Amino acid sequence: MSFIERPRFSCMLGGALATLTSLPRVIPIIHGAQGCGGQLTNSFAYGGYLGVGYCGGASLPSSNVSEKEIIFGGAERLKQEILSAYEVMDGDLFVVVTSCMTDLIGDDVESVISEVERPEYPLIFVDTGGFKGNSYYGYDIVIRSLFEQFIPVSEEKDDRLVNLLGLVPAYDPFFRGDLEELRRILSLIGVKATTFVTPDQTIEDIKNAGKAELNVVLSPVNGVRAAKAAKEKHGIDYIVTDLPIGSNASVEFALAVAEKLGIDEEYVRKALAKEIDRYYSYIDRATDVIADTDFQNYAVVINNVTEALPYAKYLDNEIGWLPEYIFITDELRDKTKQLIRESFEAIPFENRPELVFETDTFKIQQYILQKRPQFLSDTYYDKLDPAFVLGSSIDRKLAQTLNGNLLNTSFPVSSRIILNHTYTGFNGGLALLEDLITAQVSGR
Amino acid sequence: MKFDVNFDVQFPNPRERQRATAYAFGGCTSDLRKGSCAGCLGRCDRSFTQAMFCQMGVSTLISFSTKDSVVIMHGPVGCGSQSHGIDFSIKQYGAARGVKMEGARWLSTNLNETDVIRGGNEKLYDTILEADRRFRPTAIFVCNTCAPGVIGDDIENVVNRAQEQVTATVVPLHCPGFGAKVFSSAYDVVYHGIMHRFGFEPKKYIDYTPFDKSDPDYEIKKQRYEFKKSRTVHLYNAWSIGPGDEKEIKRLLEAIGLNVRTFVEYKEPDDWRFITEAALNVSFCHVHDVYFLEFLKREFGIPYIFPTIPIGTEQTVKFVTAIAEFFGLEKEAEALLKKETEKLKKALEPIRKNVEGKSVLISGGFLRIGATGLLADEIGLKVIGFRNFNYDEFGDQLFSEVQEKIGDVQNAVSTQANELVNMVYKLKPDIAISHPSVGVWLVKAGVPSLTLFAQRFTYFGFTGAYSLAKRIERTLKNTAYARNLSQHTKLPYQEQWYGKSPYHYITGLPETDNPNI
Repeated sequence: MSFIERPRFSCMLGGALATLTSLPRVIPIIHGAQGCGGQLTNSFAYGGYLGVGYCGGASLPSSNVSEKEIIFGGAERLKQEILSAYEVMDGDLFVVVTSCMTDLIGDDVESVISEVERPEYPLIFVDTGGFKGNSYYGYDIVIRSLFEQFIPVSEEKDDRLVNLLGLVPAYDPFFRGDLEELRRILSLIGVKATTFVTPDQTIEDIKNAGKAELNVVLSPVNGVRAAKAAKEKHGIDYIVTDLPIGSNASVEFALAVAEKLGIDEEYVRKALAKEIDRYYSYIDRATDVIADTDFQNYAVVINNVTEALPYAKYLDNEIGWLPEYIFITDELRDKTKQLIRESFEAIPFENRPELVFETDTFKIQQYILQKRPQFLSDTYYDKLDPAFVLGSSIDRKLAQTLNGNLLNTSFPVSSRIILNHTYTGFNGGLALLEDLITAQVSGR
Repeated sequence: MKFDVNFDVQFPNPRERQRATAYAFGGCTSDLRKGSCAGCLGRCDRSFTQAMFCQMGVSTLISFSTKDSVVIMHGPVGCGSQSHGIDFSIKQYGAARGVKMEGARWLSTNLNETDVIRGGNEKLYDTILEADRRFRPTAIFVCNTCAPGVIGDDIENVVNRAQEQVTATVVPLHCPGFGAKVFSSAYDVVYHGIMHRFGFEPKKYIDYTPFDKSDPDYEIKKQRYEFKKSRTVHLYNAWSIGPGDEKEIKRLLEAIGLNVRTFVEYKEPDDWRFITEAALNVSFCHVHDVYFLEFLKREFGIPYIFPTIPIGTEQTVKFVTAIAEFFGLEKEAEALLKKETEKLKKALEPIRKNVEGKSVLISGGFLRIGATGLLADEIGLKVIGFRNFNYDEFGDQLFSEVQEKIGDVQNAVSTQANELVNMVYKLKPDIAISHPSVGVWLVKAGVPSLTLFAQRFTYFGFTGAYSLAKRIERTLKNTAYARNLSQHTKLPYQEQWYGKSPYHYITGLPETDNPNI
């Protein structure tokens, strides 16, 4: 894999820390250099100023290995660190995570763990050496480890309980609001959902995840490994769905989950009818300003593999905009790209955008400008105007070059703080329309 | 104190070795000073440690604020990924200095498992070439991280090879995180890279045209130039020093007739060639630049001083006076400072009434917190504790003043949140002033906290003292946020931890007669 200009993710440890600090009362213990914990916290902060959480940043226990440990090994230091953490830190689950350098020096973390295991302090180990993958993978492997090492296997399943997987804290910046909205939608059809990383979750909820009938993975890539592990160990079946944005997509989502759980389609449609009415009565009153001002835009969607297609689909299918380019910014294997292409082809776009896999910020801009120059000596040429970029803070330059608007929807998000804002489901569809129009009237 | 260092090495020693900088200590100010003089602090360590910054992260600061530079993070993709946040600040604070900055431009060599086995040299080489082609930068800083550091990649060699192919100056920075416990070692690393790769003297016909000897005005022109240089002082800024700070100190020094320039941040490397066009170099804070100033002294014979950090009336007066003395401008300075002091004193009076007697805990870099403590004392706050990130002998002068004025209060050397909240639990400050990344733990613990440096405010000099006093007053006016939050949030520490000493896990503490907290 090549170098990357301003990567839109961090390392596996970074994703693991973003996830662990979002899980309820979890104490991560880093086996790594002193800067890993602090700086990776500062890095995932740019998921809409996602703070340290329960135990991130300067509270993260970290073995802070230095030259001495590189030469003599860091196992003893880690052992001391874990035992001290037991004395000081207050948590329901301790999770040892490693960094690339401790992987390199080859510390035998497993044997340290077996030495320090105490029944009163649940402890698991997740190997997150930095160069093995990026932060999305870090999320997956943490959740997978929970299923493999922590969540008790339950023979008894609750046929109205599902787990929602696939949204990565910080790197899917709206993860909390999105998961809460999807849980709300599922509750309308009588289904409960475990969300893992939203603030309401407790360690009991996590332990209960083994009782779920189904794992719903909201990403074609992230969370799939965890779902596979859960299937193997806990016998929980899984489906992979798109992140639903807007009314139509939300109904599709509810129907897909319902089908797997054996819930009657009619029942679902009836249960959601009121929600759809409510949604469109909001849209209804937004129509005056939209119709009077011609707010239809060409759009460029720049996002990760989880969110890029859903945003484009919403723009095209739900509000009748013209997404022209979709850039997926993850590093993906060819097989996965093929898979994504297939789901892209399956979306019934009115105006089919171009799908591009590009990690590099500079090349994204270059790609558009080479195809659609913004300045030509000719009076008449096919310009992207009016343009709207749905991307990250570092796509601001592209938006300025296109003389268009920017809505900061993908990592890094530094132009807004995100608490429980959502761009998913019914409420998210409304919020997205709200923000797309607001951007165009905010100067008034 | 004497600063003894060898510049003729591939990379500088970390400060814990180079100048016995401590990173772990707990006790009172008197113990801290005693330990520092006897070198005892260097023996302190911890048996429980928490995450913080590393020298690689800190190395990016000067690198990014060099105008039109590009930074390459040579390591796995997570290293340096916090740099998204720097983009905004360098643009904003550059603009405030009248410098148009491009924003944070950086690349990660994105080392993966294969690269770690095969070595990342070729990837780094390609990245340097692409960085140059893509951005045409003035300088390319290459930050070496832990992984290539451990596998022993020879980045010096790669950089030299790439240098032949690119127009930008490529600067290798040997800053793997594991290499230094004291993360401010980064400043030495970056200055080391800069001093070995750039020139610091103006070039004939590029930067200046020599005076023509046949010119009838030759003598007068020459004298004019020499006079100006003899009245020129260079100030060394740093990340934590905002545009307002520079402006304030410039204002004071210019008022006594000096010509003032700031280096090295927010300048492009071509501007650095004027670094030697000064009669005196002044450091605001030796933590940042004493390494470089010592180099300029040895190499170019430019004297330097670091009188103190100009925070609060007394330290500002001291700072300006020391510079004035060097130039023989004591009288001018005295008149100016007298007037400024009076004006400030009058302005601070109403603030004093509102904040008097409130207790404050200050946490961050040691010079800045010491001087901030004196300022807090000046406006009537009760300083009840300090928490230094690091500490070495360079702080002894300031902290002897602090001890004299404020008393022998708690004075820890720590970046650990567990020690901080324990200290807060016992000292119960009304307010805290803290370095970024620390404040959140204070606010969660119910203590309103304002940032020790916020570049959008002025902190230095007379106007800075007023600004900080106003901020303290403003913060104390409504503390509902911290109060509400602390009632509804739980810190990740066990109750029993608060029953122990905050310094429980610090090993090798020197003996003391002072009571512990």
